[in-house]
Amino acid sequence: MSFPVGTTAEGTQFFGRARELCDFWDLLDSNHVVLSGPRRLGKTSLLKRLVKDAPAQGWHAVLVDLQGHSRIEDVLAELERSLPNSKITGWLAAARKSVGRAAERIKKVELKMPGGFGGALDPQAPPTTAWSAQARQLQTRLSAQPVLILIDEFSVFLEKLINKDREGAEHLLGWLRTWRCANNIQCRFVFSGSIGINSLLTRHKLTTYFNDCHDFRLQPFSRAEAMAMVRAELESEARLSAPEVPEYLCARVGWLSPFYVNLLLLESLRAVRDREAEQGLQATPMQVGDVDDGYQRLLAVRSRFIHWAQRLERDVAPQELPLVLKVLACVAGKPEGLSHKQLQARLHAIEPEPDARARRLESALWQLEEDGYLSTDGGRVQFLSFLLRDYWQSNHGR
Amino acid sequence: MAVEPVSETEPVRRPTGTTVKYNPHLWTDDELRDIFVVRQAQLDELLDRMRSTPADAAPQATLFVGARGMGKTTLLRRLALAVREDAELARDWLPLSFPEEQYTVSGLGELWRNVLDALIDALERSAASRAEIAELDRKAHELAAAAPAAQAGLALALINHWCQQHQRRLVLLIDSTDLLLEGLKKSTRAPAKKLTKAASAPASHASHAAPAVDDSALWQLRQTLLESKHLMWVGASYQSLESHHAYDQAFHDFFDLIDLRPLSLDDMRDALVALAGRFGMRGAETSAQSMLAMQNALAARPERLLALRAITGGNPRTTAILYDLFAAGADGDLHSDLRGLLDLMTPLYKARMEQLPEQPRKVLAHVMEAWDPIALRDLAQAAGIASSTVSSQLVRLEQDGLVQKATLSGTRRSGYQVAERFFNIWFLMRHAPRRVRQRLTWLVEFMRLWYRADELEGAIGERIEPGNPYAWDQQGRLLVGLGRHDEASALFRRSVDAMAGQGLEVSEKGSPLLLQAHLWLGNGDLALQHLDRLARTASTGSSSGSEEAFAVIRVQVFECHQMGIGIRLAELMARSELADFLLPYQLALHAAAGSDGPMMNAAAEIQVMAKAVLLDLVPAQKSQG
Repeated sequence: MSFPVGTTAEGTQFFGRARELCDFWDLLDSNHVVLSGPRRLGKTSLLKRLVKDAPAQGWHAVLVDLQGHSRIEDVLAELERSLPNSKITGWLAAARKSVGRAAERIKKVELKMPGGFGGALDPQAPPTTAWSAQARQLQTRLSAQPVLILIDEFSVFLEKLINKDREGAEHLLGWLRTWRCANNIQCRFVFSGSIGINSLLTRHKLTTYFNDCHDFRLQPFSRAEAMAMVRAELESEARLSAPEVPEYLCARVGWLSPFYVNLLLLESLRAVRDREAEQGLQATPMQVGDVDDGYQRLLAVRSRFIHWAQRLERDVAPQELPLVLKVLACVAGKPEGLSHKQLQARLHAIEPEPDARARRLESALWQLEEDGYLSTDGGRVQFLSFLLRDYWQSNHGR
Repeated sequence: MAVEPVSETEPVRRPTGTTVKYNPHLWTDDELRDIFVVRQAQLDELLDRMRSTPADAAPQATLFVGARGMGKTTLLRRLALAVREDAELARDWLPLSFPEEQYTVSGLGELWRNVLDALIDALERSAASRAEIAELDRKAHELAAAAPAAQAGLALALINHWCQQHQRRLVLLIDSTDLLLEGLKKSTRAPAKKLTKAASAPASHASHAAPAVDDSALWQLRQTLLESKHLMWVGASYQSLESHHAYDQAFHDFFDLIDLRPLSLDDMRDALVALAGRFGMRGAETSAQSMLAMQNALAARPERLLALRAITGGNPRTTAILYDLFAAGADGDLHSDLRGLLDLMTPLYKARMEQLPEQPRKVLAHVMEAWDPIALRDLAQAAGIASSTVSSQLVRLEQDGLVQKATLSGTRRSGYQVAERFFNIWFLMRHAPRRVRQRLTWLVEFMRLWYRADELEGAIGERIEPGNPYAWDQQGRLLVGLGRHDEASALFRRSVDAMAGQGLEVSEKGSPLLLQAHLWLGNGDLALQHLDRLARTASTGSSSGSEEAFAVIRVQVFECHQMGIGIRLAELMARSELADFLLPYQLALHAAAGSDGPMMNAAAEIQVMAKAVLLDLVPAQKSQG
């Protein structure tokens, strides 16, 4: 069973997202982008795919992962290392000879920049920082190049930096914003991270440093994409299935993150294996019952969920805990989710005063979304994980 | 899951020391191959994953989660052996194991240096050239001189270079992944999130209470494992990683979690047969004979397996520990064998207790004294500690794999019990009050007598001859079966009179018959006298007399149930001066009559015994399992 349930999906393991990739390339013509969305939607896999497809779109792309860094100087050095001049010029030379979108893009860039690549820009790194010279040099070198700088785990790095050196973090964010907003720059940035960038910036009142970026919120798979992935993975596992299995499996998952689809598929395959062992059979098609069995197995592993409940008891203030638990219990009971209005109505007994109720609900939802319990899509609040939802319904629903 | 005999004629290969059996680290490759029979599906899946992971994709990381003794170490060791023995896999993969002390590392530099060391060790055991090993060793030594911050990158680069050069990937078998990841965290001043009522806008959530950690190393490790095509992490942990379920943590939903669950009855049967093949059975000369003997023993008395599973909780290590009790058979001295095993485990269990600070040790002791799952509130009351304190100690004990949550008997609520049941037995036999110890002793005695009773039943039957009171008694039972109750009563009265005529109403020999006859005739007090007499004899030690009395009670319970007076006998047992001793029978009789609530609410060891009795009374259940 080689499909990913935690690692990134690359090559033949990468499915779908055709529309998102298309939108991305269009957006990058004139925008810098923040790629946002809950964890386990495949943001890093998408970034890797962008890198792979970039040359055909006229970009020299690099993916820089900042999760291991905690100093600004190290980040700048990492960018320097990832984008040496030799690589950029080599790529440009090859791209000029090519035909199609890459050549068109380079031609367009050269027209916009009469002084040639790298000319006529005014870098503005903060003058007082220890890293300003390093930053200015990087900015000067890259601004006019058709390079796409994809920065993964930016939020992980930024949170560490804010905790350690808030002023430095503000300087960095300010410098990056100035760079992005400069006239005629050709390079583009894409920022992403496991921790939500937008919520991190909001929490620390730093949103203005990023309001120039287009927020591209990655959505779950469409039903068709998820089913296509299931069919392809079953085929790669050489496992036949009853015709209704892919659709049924996706229906059980609900919120179609590729991770959760694969998780249920993996456990369903294990269920088939064990059924065959019990019955002394081989190579039988996967049935709807196997999916149910796989689902129950995932749900039966208490250790998978126990921390989710314990964490609330530990982290939520005692006076807010009943409301938070009530919200989760209500949402768990409705697989299709609840609107804010419906939730407010259900909290009447806990907080009778309407304004306070709305405020407390907003506060609770913000935290629950931040911590990955819930998500609001299409105006409805629902659990991200179908398993956590059912566990909650069984153990904490009331 | 079939278990193949090691060899038809091969003599049983006995280990050099008894402890070998309980310590997979000491098993030879041959022993590992023979004994490993119950986690085959998980092993096959891992091997399959290794075969099917494309060379240009980062391998999926895996984490086995299971309580102590659930077979994590064995599985990792078996995986390494399987890779080494498969030419195709061994060409592409090299499994690396680590000494236990290497699970506590202070940084990524140390971790990757340990991987390098393990790689060099593995190469030394292989056909690698001396020059290559020396060169790698030299480079590894040079790392120590590098700046600490640079060591991780340099060591990783060396590892990657080796992998590229040899076109091989490494399987990192990390037995205590939880410990290792914990060691990579470092406490810092930063605080953790907290919701407050005052928070009316998202920005106000930034208030914090608990200290946070610097988890840079964890994020770096995650990045490496996500990116590297060369490293496959196969870990084990006795607890679920909190970070795996915390949304903002590096390893959130990162591993493919595989729970190692308690063994099923079939698994236990396979394990016992495999152990017999490797370590032998009393009276068997070869592995094949031992395996056959074990298979026959288990087929003849499947309830033994039920009892063993109840005591071990399906824990493979405890099964291996208690294997001796089975291997000894009915002739063995179960009680002294058990004591021997407890002595053997004492250093390990004692150290486990002593490692705990005072308060969690006290909480654990109270959990062990309860034996059954105990509610938090009851535990707090018993320990005399505030519930909130007990709760936090339980979280820690749960994280340490010492206690686990379990459903409270007769409810849907959760309580706590000790994860390793044999550890609990050890504690009770050594530390618990006398009354609790007696209960455990009685459990052991019961098991011994129960098996012994099989052999005694035939001897008892021989006494039933025509022309004596026993014959009338037997006829009486037949008439009861035919619904001719008046005629049956007449025969029972006749046999009672005959016994009195022969002066047997005061003798022990007459008690079985008189118990049954008086019970049928409604002479409760007289029946009670005979029941007490039998129970006193049966409970007075391990003499042949007591064994016979035990067998007699077993027969009486069966016959009374057949006659439809099982509940009357159960009620009589409740009035007996030895009601505690008779409790398993009493509960089984009620359960056989359709009321199993009292049995399900009884202490676990009493349940074990009652269920064994119940299998006698309701034979259809024998085939279930």
